[in-house]
Amino acid sequence: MSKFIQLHVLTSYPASNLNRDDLGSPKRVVMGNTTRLRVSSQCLKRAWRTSDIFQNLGSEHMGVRTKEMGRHIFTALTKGCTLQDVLAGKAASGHAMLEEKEAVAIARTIAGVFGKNKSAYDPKKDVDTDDSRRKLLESLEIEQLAHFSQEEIAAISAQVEACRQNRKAPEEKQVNLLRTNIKAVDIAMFGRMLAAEKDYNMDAAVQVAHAMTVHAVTVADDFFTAVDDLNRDDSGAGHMGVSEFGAGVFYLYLCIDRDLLQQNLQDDAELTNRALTALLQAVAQVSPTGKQNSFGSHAYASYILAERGNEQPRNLSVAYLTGVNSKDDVLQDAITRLTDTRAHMNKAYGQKTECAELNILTGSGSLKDLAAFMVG
Amino acid sequence: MWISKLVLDPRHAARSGLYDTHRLLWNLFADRPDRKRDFLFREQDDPHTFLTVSHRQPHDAEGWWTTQIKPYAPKLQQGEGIAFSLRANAVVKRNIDGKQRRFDVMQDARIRLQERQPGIDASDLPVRAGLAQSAGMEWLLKRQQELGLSIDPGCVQVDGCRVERFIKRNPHAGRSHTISLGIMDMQGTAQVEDPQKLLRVLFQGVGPAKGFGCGLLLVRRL
Repeated sequence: MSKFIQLHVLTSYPASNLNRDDLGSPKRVVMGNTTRLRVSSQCLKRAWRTSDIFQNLGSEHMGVRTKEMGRHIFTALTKGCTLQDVLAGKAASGHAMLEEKEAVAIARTIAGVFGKNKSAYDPKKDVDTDDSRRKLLESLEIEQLAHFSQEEIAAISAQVEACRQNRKAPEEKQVNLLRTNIKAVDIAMFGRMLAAEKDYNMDAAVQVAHAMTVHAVTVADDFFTAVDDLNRDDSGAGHMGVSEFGAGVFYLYLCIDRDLLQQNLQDDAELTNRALTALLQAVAQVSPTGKQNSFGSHAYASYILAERGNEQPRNLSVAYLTGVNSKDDVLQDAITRLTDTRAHMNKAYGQKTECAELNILTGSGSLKDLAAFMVG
Repeated sequence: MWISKLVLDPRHAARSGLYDTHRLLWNLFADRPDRKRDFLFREQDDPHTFLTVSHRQPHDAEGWWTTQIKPYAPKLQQGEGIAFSLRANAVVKRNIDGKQRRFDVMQDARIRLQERQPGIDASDLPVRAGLAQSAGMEWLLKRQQELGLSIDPGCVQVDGCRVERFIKRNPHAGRSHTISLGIMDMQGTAQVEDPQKLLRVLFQGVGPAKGFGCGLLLVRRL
């Protein structure tokens, strides 16, 4: 079986601002001395993870990424409901309610297993007590996001109930909540890092490059250049600078280490195949959520080239080192360059990776066939 | 009004310190010795490069500058989105022992925190970058109306407060003294609320220390 599956994807987004920097401008990258729009891999991964396609794999296979587990535990203990109720956002009760002080100790001990606790909140030392509730809840968080598998959430939940009975926090050494035998698809694909508990880290089986446009985009003018624009009476309502809300054809590259993915999923071949199919669907059909309300820029991939083989993987972005410059059909040009680069690369290195494609311009290939090829 | 990009010949720049560079810049606009300052300027990131907004075109008698001059007549409509950039000497006035003194907003924020928690060690105060962001933002948001803008609070970035020192010579008294200014760079996005007010601010500047390169508000359309 092939070790690596590589996906090369071209998606055309209409005017959009999918992934913004802190000033609201789209993220950019300079490549081949020209500026391109960029959508970061974090942004893409988040969009895929939270999509219905991934959720449909079954909630037992989706992790929860949060800093706030300690808060949830605290709420469960003080409100008298189970952790599952809290995570599902259900208002329930019927279990014993603990004093806040007891609940804080328990929540901190359990959450502390997954990351460094924020410093404890001491109301006596606080001068401004108006906000004490918020500060208390915040102090129960951990410093960094942790990715919890459902197996671990079940273990935490059981521990919470045990603590509810004993009304005290467990001994730190006796808490055994982390799991290695987890079957969380998102953790298996994109990995996790627990700074304190390295044994429970998981290497990502799916590497995702930042998506970038295959052509140059105009950068926002500097203030001096923009004066010409200011001097013109350009009062069209809702005027939008092209550069702030650029449209573009994006090239996206993914490399999947299939062996590692299956290993990360406890050697469950069936789940691995379902995960691969879901990933392909999400990559092809899910757009980042940024500014979707103002732009409605949902887009499907127009071209996907899938490859499988054991050779060292390689990104084909070099095809776009010089930005695509054609006036007529950017997409067609982008496809031609990609396939040419691949052919030349294979010839030069004497490689024969198998491939399959989906092409909206010619109407060839289908997502179903691609999925079958990947699962292979 | 005119907006100009002025680059000083490096040979002349090398011979003069920062305050002298400002004086050389001044010469471009001083057609007679008693001329009051009627321009705003800001030093750019590129070396020896300045942007100015002025009533009259700069006049480079010595030929030391490379100049690009454009008419500056922004036509702005209410509701238009703009991006802005401002280098400001953000200060507040406080009464200290009956005398009014100016503090830059970050220094002031630190003092207020220390007053609220007497005896707190200076190293336990929040980091300066964070204070600069919150204090600078507060200063800016308070001036929205005066600027004729409605600023998007989520899209404002304040780059730390740096203190610049200038030596100011007084040729008549034969003395010189040091001036130190807390300078903040702010940028963000906003909507135009009152084009007339904004225009006045674009031409006249914001806040103090305009003679030291602060207060020139730059905008571009979004």
